[in-house]
Amino acid sequence: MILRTIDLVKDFGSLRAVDNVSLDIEGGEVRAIIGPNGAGKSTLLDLITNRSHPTSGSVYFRGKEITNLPPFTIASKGIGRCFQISKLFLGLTTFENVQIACISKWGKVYHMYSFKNNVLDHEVTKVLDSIGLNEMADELAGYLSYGDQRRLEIGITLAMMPTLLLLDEPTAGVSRGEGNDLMRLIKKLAAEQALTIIFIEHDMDMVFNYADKISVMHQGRVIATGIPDEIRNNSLVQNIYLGEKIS
Amino acid sequence: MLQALARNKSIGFGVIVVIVLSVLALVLPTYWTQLLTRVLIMALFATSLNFQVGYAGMFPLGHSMFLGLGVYSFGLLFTKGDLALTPAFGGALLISIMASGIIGYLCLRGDSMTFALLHLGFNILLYTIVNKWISFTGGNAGIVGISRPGLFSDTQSFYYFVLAAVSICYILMRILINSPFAKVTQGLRENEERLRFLGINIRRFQLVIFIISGLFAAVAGILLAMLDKGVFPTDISLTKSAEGLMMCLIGGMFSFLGPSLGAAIVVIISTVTSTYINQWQGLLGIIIIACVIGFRGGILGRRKSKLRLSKERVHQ
Repeated sequence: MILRTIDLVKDFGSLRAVDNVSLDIEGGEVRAIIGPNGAGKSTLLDLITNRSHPTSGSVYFRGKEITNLPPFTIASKGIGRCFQISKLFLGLTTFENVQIACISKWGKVYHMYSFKNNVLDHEVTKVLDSIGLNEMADELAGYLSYGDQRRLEIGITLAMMPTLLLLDEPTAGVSRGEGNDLMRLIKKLAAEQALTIIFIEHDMDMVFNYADKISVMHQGRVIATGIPDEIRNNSLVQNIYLGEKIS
Repeated sequence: MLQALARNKSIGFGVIVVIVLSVLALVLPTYWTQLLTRVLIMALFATSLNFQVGYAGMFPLGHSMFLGLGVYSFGLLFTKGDLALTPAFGGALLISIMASGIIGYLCLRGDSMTFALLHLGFNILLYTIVNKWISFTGGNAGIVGISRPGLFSDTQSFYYFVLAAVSICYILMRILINSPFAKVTQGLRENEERLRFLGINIRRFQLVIFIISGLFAAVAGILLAMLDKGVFPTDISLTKSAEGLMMCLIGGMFSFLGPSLGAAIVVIISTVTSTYINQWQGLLGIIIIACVIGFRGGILGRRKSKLRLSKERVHQ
């Protein structure tokens, strides 16, 4: 068990955004979290990384409680996070974006001198290769296409070599073809690095194609968890996605 | 390869600047040598400030308090503490590091607005203490009677002393700017939250930047006390803090040497015009407005400012 949440609750005033969510994620699993808008999916990821503090409940990562740890500690323990809206260093180059992640990963944040021009050149190039952005290395992140920015967001997170990767709508806003490329890339990298992945996704095709297991959220609760076939045939889920055909 | 060449170029450029500045003192009249000394000291002050403003994206509104900390801790150790120059220098640096550590710790507790305002608050507090504690700091009149290092007591040789000290600081800062630390600093400017999710303790990181910046400002302060042969509350005033920000703004905060150029402009204009015009600060105001409207990013910062504009376009 790599991640376990126990009775996580998040209240925003009188609104209960996340309601007693208990999840068990196995190592190496690719888990999709689906649900209508406002179901509490993104908030759940925020609670896991303590970006927002849970009202009650607890989070365990590799058997140790991480509920109250600051986000940077959780990140350095090996939980990577990609956001719904890419959080990049837009005024820096693609290379520098990944480089900063590598500097952090290799413990060089407080190195105040370097007589080598490109610190961790080799490691950065490797990451850029894996996400296919090597030709864009000297381009400012702000100049990249939306799809490439999503790629870079994933690259930065992977440069930290996390064991658990949280992706918030990785393919939102990119074309179907690009989205598929992106998911294939994520799957491939996950297999190579023995990653566990939790991803939020609205595109049902993506979900059923790439997830090992699916958890369905509705009004803050997890109402069903299972392998894609089980979810497809679950009548409760079909009700929530009223009229929306789950193919 | 290209970058290696660029860096060698910057070493070459630095050497040429130092040579030109050395020769200048040989040909310039005393008045101008003295003015140039002040330019060098304020350039160091502005560059120390710009490490926060231009590189880290932090906006300290009261940076003159670290100039003032250097000025006053050195001046008081020398006059009241009866220390010789070297121990007074070392003691002043030590006091400044500790003070910037404490002040930084207290200022860095929220968002950038909280930081800016707390910083301003500390500046006002320290200025008031210096101004009102007359028995200790001399109040408005300051303290006179600070001497310069024996070999460098006249204007010209003191100029070379300052040139050497400032050059050493610039070399150190230049090395720092090329380090992994500075890369992460730029990341802080671009996206703090991303940095946090890359496992970096933002507050601690900012505190280190803060202390380094304060340290170089304190060195400038110590040199300033020697130049003026005394300490005065204007050195720790809000006007000085604002002047520092103006230097960064005018010269260009996205380049290493921009603030130094800004310092030269501000110091020379304020000194030269004040003998002719009473309201020289008005002239400075016009220059700032022109810089902000005319060329965003300051004189040396056009290229980078274009990049930042493009970034805003992406955001929309």
